[in-house]
Amino acid sequence: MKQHNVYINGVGSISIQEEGALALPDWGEENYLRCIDPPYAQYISPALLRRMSKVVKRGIVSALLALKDGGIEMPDAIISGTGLGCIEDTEKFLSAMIEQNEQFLQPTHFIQSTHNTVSSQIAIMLKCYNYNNTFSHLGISLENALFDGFLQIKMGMLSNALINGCDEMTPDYHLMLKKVGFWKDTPFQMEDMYQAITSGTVAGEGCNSLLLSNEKNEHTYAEVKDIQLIHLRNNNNIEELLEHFLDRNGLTLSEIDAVMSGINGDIQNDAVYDKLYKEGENNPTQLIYRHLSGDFFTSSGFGLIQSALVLKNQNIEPLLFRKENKKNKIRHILFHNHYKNSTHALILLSVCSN
Amino acid sequence: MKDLILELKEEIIEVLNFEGMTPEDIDENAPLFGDGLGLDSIDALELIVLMEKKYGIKLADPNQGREIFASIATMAAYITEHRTK
Amino acid sequence: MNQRIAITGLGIISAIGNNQSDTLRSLLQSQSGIGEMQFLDSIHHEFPVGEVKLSDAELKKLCQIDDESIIGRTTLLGILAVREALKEAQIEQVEKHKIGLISGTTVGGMEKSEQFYLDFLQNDLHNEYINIHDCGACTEGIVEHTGNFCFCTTISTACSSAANALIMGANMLKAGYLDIVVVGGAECLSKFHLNGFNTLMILDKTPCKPFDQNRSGITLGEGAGYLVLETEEHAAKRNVKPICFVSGYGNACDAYHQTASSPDGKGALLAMQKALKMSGLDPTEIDYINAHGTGTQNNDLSEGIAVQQLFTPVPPISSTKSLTGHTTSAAGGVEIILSILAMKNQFLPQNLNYQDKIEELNFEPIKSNMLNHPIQHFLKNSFGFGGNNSSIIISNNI
Repeated sequence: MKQHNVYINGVGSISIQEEGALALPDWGEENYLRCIDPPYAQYISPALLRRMSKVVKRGIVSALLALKDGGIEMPDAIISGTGLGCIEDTEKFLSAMIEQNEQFLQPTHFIQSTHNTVSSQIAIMLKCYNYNNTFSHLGISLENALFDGFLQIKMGMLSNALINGCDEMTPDYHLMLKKVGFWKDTPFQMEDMYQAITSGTVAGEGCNSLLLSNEKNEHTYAEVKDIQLIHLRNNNNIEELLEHFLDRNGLTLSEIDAVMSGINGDIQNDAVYDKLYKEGENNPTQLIYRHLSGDFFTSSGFGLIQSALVLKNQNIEPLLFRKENKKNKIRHILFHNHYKNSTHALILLSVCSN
Repeated sequence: MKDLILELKEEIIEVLNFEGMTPEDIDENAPLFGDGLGLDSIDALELIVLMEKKYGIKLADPNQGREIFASIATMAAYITEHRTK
Repeated sequence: MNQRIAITGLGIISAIGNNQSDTLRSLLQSQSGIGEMQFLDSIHHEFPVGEVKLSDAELKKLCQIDDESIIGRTTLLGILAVREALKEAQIEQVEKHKIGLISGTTVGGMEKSEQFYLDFLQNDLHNEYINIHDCGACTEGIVEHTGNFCFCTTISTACSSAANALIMGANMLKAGYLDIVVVGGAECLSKFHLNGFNTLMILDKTPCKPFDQNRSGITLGEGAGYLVLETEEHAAKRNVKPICFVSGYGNACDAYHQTASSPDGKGALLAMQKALKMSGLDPTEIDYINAHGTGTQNNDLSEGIAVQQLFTPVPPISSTKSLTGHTTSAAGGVEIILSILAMKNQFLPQNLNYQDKIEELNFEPIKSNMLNHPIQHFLKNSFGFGGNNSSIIISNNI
């Protein structure tokens, strides 16, 4: 069976970062930041805009940016990943339902609350009748969406696919996640990202879109060589699976130039990566991003975009370095994200030679 | 009736999320659906909820809304006649 | 890529039965499971529903799960159906296989969250339920109690979730990422979506009447339906006989409105055309259509128009939602399994509660169970809010 190559040809992002160069956000006391919203009216008509929650607006804009960046008007597929879905509308409907004892409820909040709203609204705006799907699987939601697109392009079922990872972090949900230990109790410091000694991380939100394509052209950032999504079983260890993943691509860890990982300052989360990736000459440069995007279920989208930029520009912005500032040619980046050491996503990205 | 018309305009701006719009921007005789404010079927459902919650008027069939919601003026007339709150 | 995708196991639980054999009996008797709300704690008893006839405590007992466990009703339904499917497929030790689970759900743990939401915000009495709120946690809960899958994920495209899970699973098999995949969906009733559908004024106060001129909306149901898929070659290696095959599938978007289907059923038509194209079958070779057929004015007309555009004449068609209710994210899985049961037992299932033909359509659904009626190929439609339209074609193994 002929297998096609898969490239990242366009990116779009709405995040807690301002436009322009990356900057370390001021996490303050709360360790919680919300997105910087662009002027949505520039992209979406007022008639549609008035009904949309923030996550839907952001998802549409990041999608449109990625399409424009990639020079495509009509994608073959729209595939989104979201951990919490449209949580703001969900909360509005749910609280009204409880307060008003299931009476006088507003339909708008319900219809905008389903997880597939972002994918659908993008399709409605573009009048895109093609493949449309949404994944909602915790911290690996975006990677699943990416995998769906990657798989179908590889098999020749699609020429391109617009992949979106979207999540919003409402104050109420932030509070709920605080109760189950997600967030750091003490003010965030960069030292937490070098060596985590406490649990918890910082909260962000955002929408990140990538346009995948089987065509290498002037828009191309990087090649997506391989993806593996692993549900760890009792008899597995991630070291072996990582080695196997690299081996099937003809590589060893020492041949990987950089690892972009889901380090987030949480001691348990980071320990998994620290076990696998060491400093030193024959080891990949360690890159990090969650101090810049905040952590949320689809924050890996931000990291993937940064990885694509590194490969295209052959330049690593200083704020991405975890420890050592190596400046070698970057041929391969291993993107590694795990959720509670239960599911791991391994994505091999490679530079495109022109 | 004038008060009710103003009240309806304010409610519509709030419930249908017409941010930045004021009651002065809405002509009470202009069509609400299609042209005019450009409301759609979901907005019609929102207005049905508003009718029941604020004025105690229950519409069992969404299709009844077509005539009642033709304009703010027709809405006000219907509410004046049928309100229980 | 040319490998046939075999179905080697089925698992189902719904308002009409807790397993395959109970379900088949209800199907043959056209025995609906729709009735007054028993378990869901909502004020809206004016709407009949299709509940699984087991309380949470009874479900936990059947699952052999401790009564104190923090687990949602959707997960419990999923566990029972996945276990039944794995058993039929003769998979005793999941960890010995390169096997994944792809599950569709939208409610997830909401039926618990809506009970404890105020506590989540105001106190620390029920924090443990926060972790099981979302869709992914629901699937992980199923995995925890069914076996060590090497891959699992959750698809959430409203009422087409289970069908899209099947499509993803079939693609993964064809590409060689997995040897076996369990696909389907699970959804329990919740006040959230019951009230949600009510705000859209599309719930019927009597049991739904799909494809009837006087249809007046949906009857909600709950359940879980999962299928075990593997390539024909792999099934042969394991000495397991395929029940039937996945011949084709298609996913298209209606791109019209967040909740309404387009008047010309464009998305539905495209999905069915894609499925037919992949299967290599001519429309005349489809012996039965299990429709999405929710009983709303909008869906049944839109779907009907798409169907009669593609099929001349329209083959026997029915919606089984008047038996089970609309099981939303699980519907694709539940209804494909109902159709397979009918296919293997050579009958066409009735479209219960039908009386009068929809004026704009040129066909009527099946009016009573038609026995001794072989089905070689059937088409299943699954359409979700947001225009997520999917169609699957299943072929018999004879």
